[in-house]
Amino acid sequence: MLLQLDNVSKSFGALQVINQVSFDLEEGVALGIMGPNGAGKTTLLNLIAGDLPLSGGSIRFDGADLNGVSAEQRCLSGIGRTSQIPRPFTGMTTYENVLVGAMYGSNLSEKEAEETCVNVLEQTGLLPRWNVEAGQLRLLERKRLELARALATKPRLLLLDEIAGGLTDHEVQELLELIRDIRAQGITIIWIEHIVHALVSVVDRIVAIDFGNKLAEGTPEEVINSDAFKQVYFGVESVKLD
Amino acid sequence: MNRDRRLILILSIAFIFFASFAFWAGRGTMNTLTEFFYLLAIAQLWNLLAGYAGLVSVGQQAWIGLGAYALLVSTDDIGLPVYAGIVVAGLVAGVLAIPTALLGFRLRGGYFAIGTWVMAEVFRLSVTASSDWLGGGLGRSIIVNNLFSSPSARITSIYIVAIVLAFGTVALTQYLMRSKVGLGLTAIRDNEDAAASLGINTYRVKMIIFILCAVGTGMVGALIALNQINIIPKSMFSVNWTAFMVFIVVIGGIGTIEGPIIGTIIFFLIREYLSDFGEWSFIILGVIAVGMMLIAPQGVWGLIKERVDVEIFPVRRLISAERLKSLGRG
Ligand SMILES: Nc1ncnc2c1ncn2[C@@H]1O[C@H](COP(=O)(O)OP(=O)(O)OP(=O)(O)O)[C@@H](O)[C@H]1O
Ligand SMILES: [Mg+2]
Repeated sequence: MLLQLDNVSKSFGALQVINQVSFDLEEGVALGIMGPNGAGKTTLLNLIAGDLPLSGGSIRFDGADLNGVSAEQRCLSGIGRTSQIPRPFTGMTTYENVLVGAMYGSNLSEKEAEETCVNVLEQTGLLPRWNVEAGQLRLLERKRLELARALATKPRLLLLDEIAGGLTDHEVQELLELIRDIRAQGITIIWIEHIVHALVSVVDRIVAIDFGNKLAEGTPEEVINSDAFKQVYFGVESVKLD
Repeated sequence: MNRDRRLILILSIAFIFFASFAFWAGRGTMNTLTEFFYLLAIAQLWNLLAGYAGLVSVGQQAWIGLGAYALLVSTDDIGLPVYAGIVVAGLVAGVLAIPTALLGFRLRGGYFAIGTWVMAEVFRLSVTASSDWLGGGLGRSIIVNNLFSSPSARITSIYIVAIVLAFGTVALTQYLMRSKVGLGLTAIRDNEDAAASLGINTYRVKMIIFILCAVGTGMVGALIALNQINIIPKSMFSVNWTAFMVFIVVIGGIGTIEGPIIGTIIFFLIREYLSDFGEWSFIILGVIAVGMMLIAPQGVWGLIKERVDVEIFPVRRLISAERLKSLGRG
């Protein structure tokens, strides 16, 4: 197992945001996470990436307990992430943003990193914008930059948080191509997404959560047809299931 | 690399130009320039600390004071030559910066600022407590005449050290900004959480910068001491030193190398103009700095950059021309 979550819990003060969630993830698998707004999806990702400390339970990556392991060490051990709200280094160029991932995240010299960066920029369609300050990028480009930076760290596990939100159908198709590409490289993926048809067309498995509880887990078909999922998801989010 | 050669040329010419003052300029000019260059050096270091590493310290006077006393002890008491004393001053400040950082880094934002100030006060009080050896609150005279062959040799030597420290600091900052540490530092400046997510050990990068800035500021402290007859804790550990750094950096433009240079020039011009106002000049400087923060937080250099596309210190990293060519984008 590449990733094992065992009774993972998180609370902010009295607010229980993640409640004893467990699941395993095999190397090479793409897992989708679904759930309504405020379900705790981003929090779960933050726990895996080490941006928040656990309140209970444990997370193991490649067999090693991640308790007490900092975000930067998790990055170095192969966990890459994108952020739902893009966090570009606004005073640096697109290229330099990606360079940070390559030089620090995969420990390359600037010379060695150049090739990695150019490839990743090409893959994410940002190459024409390489010398533009990231502060000037549009939202869409910022989301791609999140992905590009994470890829430059050469992750084994890639955590994606709503990278398709706000895209046109055509752009979603492009993104799906890209994610399939990444999968084909053997990178394990956890993808949080509201756009169900996009998600199910790529992932092997889905975990559905609501109010911090795991509602259902299985193949996309199994999850979408499960009673628990229908009850919560169709009730709250029926608009988004086109 | 063309733009780097250009910068090296500019810096070399400027250095030679100012070094030549040692041969023909009068005492007054040299004294003023000495102050200009050591203020530039410590402002540039504070810029590195606050503008890049996000470490807004108001306790940089600790290193000035410790550097001054380290020079006093290493030359007058131990008998080291003066230039060795300056190096020792930097080392003493650097070593004491380690426990200061270990304590201070546990604090965030405003608490860090206050924490550094408290640490500076602790150092000041420790020095003041030694009345037999270091002269307590009244301070101790520094036997400068033994250190230099003549009064004019003293002024010239101090001036040379000042320009070496100032140019050294600027060159080091530029080198650093183009290195891996600089890339990480700029990332931390823009978004610390994202920097950590990409594998940057933000704690280590900040530690490196904190120590480096203490070393440089300590050496300037030694230089300031050489300019005095008496080393007094109250003035050497005065928070005014940090106030000057903050003013210069805020006015010139925080988080850029050009900013502190412009800021120091403006600081000198304003101070010259305000010299008639006595104590009031501090208040006026403060008002100008606060006004600048509100109206143009990116400083004078930021205002210039908005209008003209100039870059004296090239820090931007580029994809090599060969690579671009092979991609058909040459
Ligand atoms: N740092 C925090 N402090 C307190 N409460 C928080 C914090 N972060 C998240 N929460 C709360 O935890 C709950 C889950 O938030 P989270 O961002 O994980 O949801 P999400 O499933 O990602 O939602 P969305 O689909 O809108 O992105 C929300 O009620 C949110 O208000
Ligand atoms: Mg979210």
